[in-house]
Amino acid sequence: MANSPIDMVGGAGGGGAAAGAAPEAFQVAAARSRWDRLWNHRMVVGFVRYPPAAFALVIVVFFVSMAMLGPYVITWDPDKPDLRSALQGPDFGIAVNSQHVLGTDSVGRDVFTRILVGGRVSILLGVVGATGAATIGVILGMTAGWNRGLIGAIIMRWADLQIALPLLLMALTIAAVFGPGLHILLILFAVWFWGPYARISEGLTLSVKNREFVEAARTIGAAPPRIVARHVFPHLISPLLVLWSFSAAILIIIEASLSFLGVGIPPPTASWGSMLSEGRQFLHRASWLAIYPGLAISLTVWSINTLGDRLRDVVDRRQYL
Amino acid sequence: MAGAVLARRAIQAFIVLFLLVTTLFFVSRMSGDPVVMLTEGAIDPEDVEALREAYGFNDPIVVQYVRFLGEIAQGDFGDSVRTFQPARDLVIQRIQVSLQLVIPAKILVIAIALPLGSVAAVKRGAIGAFAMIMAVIFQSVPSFFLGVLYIFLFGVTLGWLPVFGTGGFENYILPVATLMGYPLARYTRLMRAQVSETLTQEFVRTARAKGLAETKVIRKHVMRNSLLPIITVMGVDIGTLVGSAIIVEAVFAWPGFGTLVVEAAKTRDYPVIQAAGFTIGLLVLTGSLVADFAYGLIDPRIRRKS
Repeated sequence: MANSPIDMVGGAGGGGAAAGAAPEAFQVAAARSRWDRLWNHRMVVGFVRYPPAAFALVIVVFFVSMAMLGPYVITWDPDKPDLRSALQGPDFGIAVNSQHVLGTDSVGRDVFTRILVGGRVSILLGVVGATGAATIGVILGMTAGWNRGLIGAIIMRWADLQIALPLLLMALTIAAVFGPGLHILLILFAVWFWGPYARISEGLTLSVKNREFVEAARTIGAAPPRIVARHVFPHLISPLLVLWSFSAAILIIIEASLSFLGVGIPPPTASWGSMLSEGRQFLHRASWLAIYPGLAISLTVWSINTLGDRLRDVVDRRQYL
Repeated sequence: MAGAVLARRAIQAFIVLFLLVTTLFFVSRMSGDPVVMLTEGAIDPEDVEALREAYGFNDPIVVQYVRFLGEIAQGDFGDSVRTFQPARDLVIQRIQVSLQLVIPAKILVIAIALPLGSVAAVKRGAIGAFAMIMAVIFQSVPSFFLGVLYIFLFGVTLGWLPVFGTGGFENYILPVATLMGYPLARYTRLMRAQVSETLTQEFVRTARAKGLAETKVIRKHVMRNSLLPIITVMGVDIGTLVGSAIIVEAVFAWPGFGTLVVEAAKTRDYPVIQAAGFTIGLLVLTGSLVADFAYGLIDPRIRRKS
């Protein structure tokens, strides 16, 4: 597989020039073959063969497809109160569309429907937030790694700042200024969560930039943006993919936490966090109101983490082959 | 030489603190006029104007910024808009209440996770499997759901423990247990990974080859070397733990720092929010500096190399 000229040069380099910052795994192969490996069908099969990962994939696919198909599948209005059927218990026995499978809340809204709709918001925020953060972080991190002077120092101090003022606290500050809202959260997640991406990108860019194939590209006259995009970036893809999955899970938890605290998604829009918070008051006579949204968050987070772990295992192992 | 490295890290931390103060200032000015926000347009325009003049909001933004920096350098964040107490005193007072949860949680996590993680790495039997299942559960269940589950189980169903507020010893059990959840999973996993990696090192083979007892190999050679990276993580985590206390306090109505911040966010109490953000930043940065320092102190290789 590794027979393109670029790979030969990269392979021959052996990573001796790297500052020792990158794991050995990233020093083995180069650009083209990495894509091939990532999408190798054997890998996909191996990925799913581990039962928990297969189960996790099913859960993620379920929530994602519900998020996309939501309006066509649900039969109850998620936000419209129906006081006559308030606080009905879960009813698993009857067909999904005729009864309230997971019961109703204090104003008679269907809990199952609201969980599906709440999942839409959570997944949207997790996926779009993590993608936005990854885009910003990779661009800034590669810039910092390529340009070690003042620019690099400034970028990395901004990344440190995000550790010093954790996302949850920053979100509370922002909520105080702008009030709660979906768009505000989305922007905040992207601009206050790129630190980890920048740190990984900076380290890997540093370790790659003195390798022979980068030198070769420079010698034949490629401009720095082209070198970074074509010869450095492909080395970042697999660690970034792993980080992306974990950070989506963290963002889902943070959104739920903020909604739980009452400063996330404003009502009446369903959100797992705010459903759980409302359900707290009915723990003694309608425990399903708190338990099911909580289970939905936990299952989703578990699934994403499991897929991320599996992704890391598979990517690592293939790199050593 | 080690001093030079530490000095550089201290300067970097100071720069980050400066950025933090700048961010807090500009974010709170981003939505426009703070006086209008504070009064919600409820009072007479002349009073608003007088208030604006009194707080200095009519000065150019740069002048306000420099004045803000000067006040913070003196430890003055202004008075809370709600209670009219100095924001700094409020934050310090409430953080002490939070530490009553955070410190026991941290000690218990270290006491449980480090041995458990090591055992899980050394003997991959039932204990290892138990440790990993526990880690997976605590990692996936967010703290607010964990807290609600504990309340449901021990408070509502069994009726064993009080579920909110401060008071006697029983009031500490559920909040501390909730606060321990995620760090317990994290440190058990970290320790297991570290010990597994250290076990493959050559000095472990050497120690075994020269006939040391296995317990001695593990205690003196493996554990010690595995602890180093974990110390760094712990330093940074000091702030994270206070941050996660925000949610746990909301679940158990614990009148600490977290409750203060959430109330401040809901009532737009800027001075308190700013004092809180600054305090957390200071804690995190100090924590990671102390970890750097401790790291050099514990590992003679680092002391000599740098």
